[in-house]
Amino acid sequence: MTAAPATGPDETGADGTGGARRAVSGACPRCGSGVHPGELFCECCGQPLDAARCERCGPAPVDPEGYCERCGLRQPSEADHAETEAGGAAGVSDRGLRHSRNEDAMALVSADGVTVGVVCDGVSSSPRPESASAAGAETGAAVLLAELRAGADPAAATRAAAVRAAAAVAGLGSSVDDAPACTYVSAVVGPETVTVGWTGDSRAYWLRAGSPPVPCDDSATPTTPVAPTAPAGSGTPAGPVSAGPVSAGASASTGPMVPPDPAFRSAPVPLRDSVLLTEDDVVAPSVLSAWLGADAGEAAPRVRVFAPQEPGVVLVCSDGLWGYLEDAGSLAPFTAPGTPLEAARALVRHALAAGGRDNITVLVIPFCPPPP
Amino acid sequence: MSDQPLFTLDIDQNKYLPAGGGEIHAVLTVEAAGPAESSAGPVEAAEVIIVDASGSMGGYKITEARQAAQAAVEALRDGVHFAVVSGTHEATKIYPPRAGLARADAQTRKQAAEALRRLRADGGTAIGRWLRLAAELLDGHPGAVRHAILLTDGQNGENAQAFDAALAHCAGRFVCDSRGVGTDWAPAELRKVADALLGTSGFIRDARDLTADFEAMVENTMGKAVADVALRIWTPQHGRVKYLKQVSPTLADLTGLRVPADQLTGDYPTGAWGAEARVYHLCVEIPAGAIGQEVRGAWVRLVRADSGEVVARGNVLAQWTDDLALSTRVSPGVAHYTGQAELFGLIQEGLGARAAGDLDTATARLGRARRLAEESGNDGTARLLDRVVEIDPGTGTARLRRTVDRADEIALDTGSVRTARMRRDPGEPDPSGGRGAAG
Repeated sequence: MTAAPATGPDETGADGTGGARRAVSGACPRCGSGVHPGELFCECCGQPLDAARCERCGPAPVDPEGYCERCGLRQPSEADHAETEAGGAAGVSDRGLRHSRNEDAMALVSADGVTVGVVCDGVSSSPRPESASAAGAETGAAVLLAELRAGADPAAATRAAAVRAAAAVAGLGSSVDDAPACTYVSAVVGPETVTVGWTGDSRAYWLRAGSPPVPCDDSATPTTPVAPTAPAGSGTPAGPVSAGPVSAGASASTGPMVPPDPAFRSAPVPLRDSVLLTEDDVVAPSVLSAWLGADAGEAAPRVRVFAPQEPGVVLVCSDGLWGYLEDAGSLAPFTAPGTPLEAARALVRHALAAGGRDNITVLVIPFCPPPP
Repeated sequence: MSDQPLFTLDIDQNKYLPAGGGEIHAVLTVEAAGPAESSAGPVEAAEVIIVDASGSMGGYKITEARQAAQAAVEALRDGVHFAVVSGTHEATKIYPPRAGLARADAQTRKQAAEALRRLRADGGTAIGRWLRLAAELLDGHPGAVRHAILLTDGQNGENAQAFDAALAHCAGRFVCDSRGVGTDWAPAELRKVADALLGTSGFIRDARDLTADFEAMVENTMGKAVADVALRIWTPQHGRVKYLKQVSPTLADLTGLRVPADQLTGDYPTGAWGAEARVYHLCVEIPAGAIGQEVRGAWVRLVRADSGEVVARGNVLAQWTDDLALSTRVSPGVAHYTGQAELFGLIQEGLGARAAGDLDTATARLGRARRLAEESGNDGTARLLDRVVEIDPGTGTARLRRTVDRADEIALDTGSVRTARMRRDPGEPDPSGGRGAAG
């Protein structure tokens, strides 16, 4: 069971910028003088008002080396905590609390009404995993964009990008014994369809906008995983924590897998309720059966195409997030209230609060279906 | 061009702490690369020479002391401000006869030598009073390198409270090197003077060596290029400096000398600097953080007292990890100087036990000290220990020597503050920069 809604979207004001903005419209954190909204420095003592915030202890000066001048905490650096935005989508990648560096990588680009996002998670047991994930994400996003611009359909572009990313990562290894490795997942969010491709256990989800814990307008649907047994007014998803990522009802609605044959083309699978779009390549929990690297077999990315019927977001993430929260119905409330960046931050914060055992990377890409 | 020495600060530590851990150790090496000797503008200096003239100094000792003080006066560079103080149960300035200090030149040096010739041994010993007079005289030269040389042969006659109050009064006002002659003085008392007044204490075994020693102390003072330098240490909120000790070239506890600079920062005076290196052991307590978090546990800055200029700076870090291989490692510098402090402690305990007649404890402590001195490369202390304890080369068993010269015991007591510098292995990687374990 997860208490996601309690620690998630309600706290959007507690992050860096949100909180600082609130402080600005009240009193100076150093001298207490009143300050007006929009002022960058305190008129009385010169205290910078926007930057003066420590992640741990609140309003406090942070020195140029990045340490809080009050509690000493090193503020997250680019390598520890990265945020990106493109075409209305957003991504957040965080080192987490247990790892000494961030071995995840993300890429987010947008052009011509299409947004492309890639997440790679470096395999910790391989050498230089952070180089693998960086190469995988960069190559994947660049090739996807180039293929789409050249007129390739999203499924073909997704497959081509994954194969090229696999080659780039394999090129980092000098032998099978020295083979940086990573997982790979991409999402192409266009005006009408969502295309995902993956190798490994990084995931993509469809999260319906306003997907409520208790559906109010569509209670008859049998595919909403949380609806039938959730008591009214409770935010807690009902039912046991399933071993599989998707409840039986939900997977029934996603239709058949796209077979690995590249020549095969099927109609996009319609999407309504929040659901996991990928299927982990694992032989056992956290034991990968497929990955990118010189020691991996021939690249065989899996690709699926969907056609969401309602507004929502595509969530692309590493296991640093879904290891704590993997049910699509539980993830959806995080994306409802704020902007994609706020949603991504809220999800990362949830994983950190739950222990932050792994690196956490989250992309939130909005989708609006064309008018019927 | 300026003659400012170039200060460097090197920090050796293992930043990794286990979950819940809050004590960080770091070894700070401060080096001053001095300007060329006798360069254009030598720094101003003020010197007070204090000679014990109590009754016990009678006979050959007062003669040797006079000669040593005269040699010290001779060694003063032209233009140095100086005075000579005679110490008994009172403190009397015997030169110059007028108020304040004299400026060294051929004439004043000759007059000071004459005043010393009239010095007679009579009365008690009140070291605190002598130091207070030195402080008063040196206060008139705030920008100068302020230094005093103290020579005594007996135990202080003041009560501990008066002595401590005098040391507290003088701390930060001048640096004092003190020397004991004969075998009736208390090494611990002069060590207290050295700790409080940032100088050295030593034993002059043969009064005939006094002259050379006094000359060396004066020359050392003349070689100082910066009058007052402080270690400024910031610790985070709810953290504190548990201790700060100088660990090389000698041991001295600076913890009690803290002068608050602001709520989170304190200054620890280190006195005047020439071209030299000193090493400090800093121990900081901070609130435990979460696994993976990194904090600055201490921000160390080296500050000139006159200009407030920060001449060197560095961070002592802490990062919490659940990897025991990381958190249990001890940095080589911390290990070495912890060993040197342990060596000093063993010698003090051993000598104390020996004086109290507990020969078993004395043998155990001093035998262990002898092995530790050898292992850590402290040859000087090993030689001093050899006069007191012998190790059977076959069995390795320690045995106290049956007869020990009182002078050897004092030499060991005073010499035990001298530590061995760590042997540096240039190929050694920075222990705190190691790669984290793959998770």
